[in-house]
Amino acid sequence: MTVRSMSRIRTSLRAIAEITRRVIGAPDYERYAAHMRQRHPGERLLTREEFARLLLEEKYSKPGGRCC
Amino acid sequence: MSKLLRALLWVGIALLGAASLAWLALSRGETINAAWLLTAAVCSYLVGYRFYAKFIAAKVFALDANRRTPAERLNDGRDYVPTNKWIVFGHHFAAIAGPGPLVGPTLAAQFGYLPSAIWIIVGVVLGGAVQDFVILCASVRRNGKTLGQMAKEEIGPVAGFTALVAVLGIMIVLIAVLALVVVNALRASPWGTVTIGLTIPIALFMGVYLRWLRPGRVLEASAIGVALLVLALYAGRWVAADAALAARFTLSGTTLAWIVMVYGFAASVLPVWLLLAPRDYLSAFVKIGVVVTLALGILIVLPPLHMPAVTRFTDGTGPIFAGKVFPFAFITIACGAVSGFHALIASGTTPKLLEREPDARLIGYGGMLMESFVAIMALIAACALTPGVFFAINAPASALGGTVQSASAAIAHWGFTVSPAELTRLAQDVGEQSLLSRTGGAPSLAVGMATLFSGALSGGGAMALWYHFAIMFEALFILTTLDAGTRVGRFMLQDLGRHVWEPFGRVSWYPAVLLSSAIFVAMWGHFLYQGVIDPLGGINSLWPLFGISNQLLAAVALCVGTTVFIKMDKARYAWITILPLVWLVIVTMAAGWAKMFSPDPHLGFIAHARSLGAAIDAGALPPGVPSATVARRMMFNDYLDAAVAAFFMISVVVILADSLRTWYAVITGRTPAVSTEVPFEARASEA
Repeated sequence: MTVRSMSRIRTSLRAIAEITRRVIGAPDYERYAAHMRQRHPGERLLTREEFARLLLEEKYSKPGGRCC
Repeated sequence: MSKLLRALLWVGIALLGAASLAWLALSRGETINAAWLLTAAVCSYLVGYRFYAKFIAAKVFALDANRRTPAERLNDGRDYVPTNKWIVFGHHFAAIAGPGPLVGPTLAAQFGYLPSAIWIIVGVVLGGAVQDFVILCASVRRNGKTLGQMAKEEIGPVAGFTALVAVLGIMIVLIAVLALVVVNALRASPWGTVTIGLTIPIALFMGVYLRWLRPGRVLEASAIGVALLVLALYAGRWVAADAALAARFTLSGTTLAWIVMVYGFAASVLPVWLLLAPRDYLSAFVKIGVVVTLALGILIVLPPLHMPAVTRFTDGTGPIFAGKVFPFAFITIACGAVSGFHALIASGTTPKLLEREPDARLIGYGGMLMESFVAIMALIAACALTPGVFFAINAPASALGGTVQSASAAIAHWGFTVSPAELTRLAQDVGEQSLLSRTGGAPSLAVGMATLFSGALSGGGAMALWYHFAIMFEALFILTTLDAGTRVGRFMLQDLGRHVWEPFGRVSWYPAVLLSSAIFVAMWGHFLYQGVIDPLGGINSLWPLFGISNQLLAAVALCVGTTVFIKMDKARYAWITILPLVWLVIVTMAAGWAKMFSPDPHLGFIAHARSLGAAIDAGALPPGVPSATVARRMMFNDYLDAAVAAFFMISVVVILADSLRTWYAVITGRTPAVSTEVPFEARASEA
């Protein structure tokens, strides 16, 4: 297997992982950090842990996250 | 493809669907293959999606790919994130799919496959999917406002407040009935109890892993979790095979009820990252995995439907739940055709993720079609069992007696055959002590799935493993609704209670957290406990209440949708939401009325209480009721159930009246038709 096809497999695996994470609704810190750096470079960035806690707390505090 | 060819293709799909439905409806006396049901459903979905949903998208909302969505305008990298439509579809489906569409059609199969099939197909195309789609569009046009906010702003404060209180009431009944399904599935089943019990430490381990060992590695933790689930399945079998251990994990219904309550309480007060979040990830994988496996199993086996098209129980004498086919088939199926709860999700996370407006059709309408398809599969799994087996599992002990002989005799009396030996062997095959009167739908669905899976995937063997695999996933489904629901209910209670006593509303002050959690658990726990000790099986009283409450919420959502249509000057299209609304109001009122005032003690709560009262006076208690004290408590519960039904009915009337007032004012021009949509903003043209 060539180096090129290996890296291609790795890229597509990464894409699948990314899609899966978003489907199951895991907090996406990388996206948030990229967004903040690009749009609001001056503001304080939450740490990974703060971000995860904030998102999860919100997710399970109002109806609309879960169904019957 | 040329235009003509395409037109011919759609005519073909429509004709095929109509022919399959006709074949389902008209064939009598011979068993029919599940393929007809699948074809009828899929063709109807395609036609509904291609024409009706497109019509709504174009004529009412004029969805525009060039209009900026909230995700784009308010992008914060956190809540509002423009997301590929297929990812949003997956996320939305994982959120709306729950145990409802699996349990409802299973129970409703007591009427035969035809009433359920027709309602699941017609109800979704004209009602359920429309509701989800319309609420999603309305919310997208309002920066992702919730259903409660829209009810308040579009209709009025009275409707808004009623909707808020109704949602709390609905959550209580929902959690109670789902907990009852789990309790009935695990009662006297050491294998199931151990397997499900182990999912809790597995989730805790995942939580710790994600917090300290490898923060943020969700997929890694989930993979470990799924592997441990498989181990838990085998651990359960190992325990069940050991007499001493099995005895220790053979629990009664009441013990299990207390355990479930403690679990709900813990989930509400523990940090989210420790229990809720990891369980949710696990459940999402298991959910999607099982839906795919079930579809594969059904497609490979294409089982014949042994249940008759229509059974004699349409007259209201059914053993699983009382009541005639109208309105109780509609109330029982609930989520598989129309689910009010989806309106909360379509106005929750989903609208904040939409990249382009037209994606709403796939996600809102298409997502609900998918859910309906799950309901069709559950119906197939139930009707593929022989009716004798189906009723042996689902009818309560009061109808079957306690032994395989009495059950066989009772079922023969209903016109179906199943021998005592068959019942004993089936229980042995799935690794349970008994399958009699395992009400709630979960065990019957698990037997149906185990039959399909073992037929399609393991050459007829491994029934016991497949059965417990199915039970495990159903319980996982249900417990994730139960734990997240308890927490959400706690927050709602705190929000309401804050007006009475301010400190009660402090969401991170431990005394308030513990108190509000305990109150909320006690509320659903009461209904759960009464259901567990009810000699009629509990499902008979609780599932209809749940169905009524769910359809009530759908009525609220459709009122909001209609108001939105009228205010955006599209009153000429208001029939789109009024049609299902009228039907749901008729169904919920008829069912609520019957549950309250029917003179049949099996059906009417008040009649049941009176018959118990008469029995106490006569000194001759009905079977299964040990003492007059218990009978008096049951009477109290009957009156409570009647009050809950009355509360739901009054809520429908209040919201409907408030909506009619608003519609009348707008149509007569007394209030100007002002849309509250965020004004059009064109997307920047991409260079």
